[in-house]
Amino acid sequence: MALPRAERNQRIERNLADLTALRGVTTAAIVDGDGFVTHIRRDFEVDTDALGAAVQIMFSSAQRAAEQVGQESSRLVVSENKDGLILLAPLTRGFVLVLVADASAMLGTVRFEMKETVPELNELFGG
Amino acid sequence: MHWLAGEFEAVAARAEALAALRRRRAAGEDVPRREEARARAAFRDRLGELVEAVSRRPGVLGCVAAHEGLLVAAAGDAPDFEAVAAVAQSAVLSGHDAADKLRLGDLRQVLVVGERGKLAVLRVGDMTVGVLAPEEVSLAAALG
Repeated sequence: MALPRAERNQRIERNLADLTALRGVTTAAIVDGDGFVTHIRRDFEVDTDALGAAVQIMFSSAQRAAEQVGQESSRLVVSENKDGLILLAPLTRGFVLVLVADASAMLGTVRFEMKETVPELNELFGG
Repeated sequence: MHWLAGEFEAVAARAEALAALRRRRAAGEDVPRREEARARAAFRDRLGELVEAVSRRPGVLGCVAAHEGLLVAAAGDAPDFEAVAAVAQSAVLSGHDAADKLRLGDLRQVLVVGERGKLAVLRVGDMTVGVLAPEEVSLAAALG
């Protein structure tokens, strides 16, 4: 049975809050297939329109690259930058989970928790 | 390694609690995701405490915990913790291979000893723990 919308949103928010509680994680967001941020938890001001668009570009590029080399679908995309990380994980129905972390984040922890969170988010998004 | 054995037992208990929840879910039981998230956090926190505690033992240079070769926790002093995490994972894979070929049973520990230092690698749950020390340090004494 589908969850009431308020409860569903509450559970999505709680998952994002758990992810931003990890050391170094400054933003956790869900971006839809059109590049719009549908849910976000952040520690600092971020341009959500730009974030959503960038996430979709980044994810679709990675997806194409994976297909080009015969690796089928992307499960996780990591961008390691001078001052931190961006991680993307595809969810059901074209949604993407995005995490932004600073240099203090432990990649193994963030990746592990992200992978563990995806199944619940997929359930919540009706996957 | 009595001291370490006790510390590992505490972490392993949390790893087992998490594994038990996963087994129940795999068996089709409706395990609340929240319960699993709490078990994961408890395991992660205790693992972080273990890494900190190990790194403070006399003679130990540093300690890391890693998942699939990527850093989960690090403490102490090492030139490159990420490299230690990656190498610890490789050591575990090699160790598994050796233990398997020689029928030694489940892998418990891998010890790499160089001219200047040593690395002990242990497994707990899904995680790998690496302990770095200078070559002359007895890890049995440091962690016992």
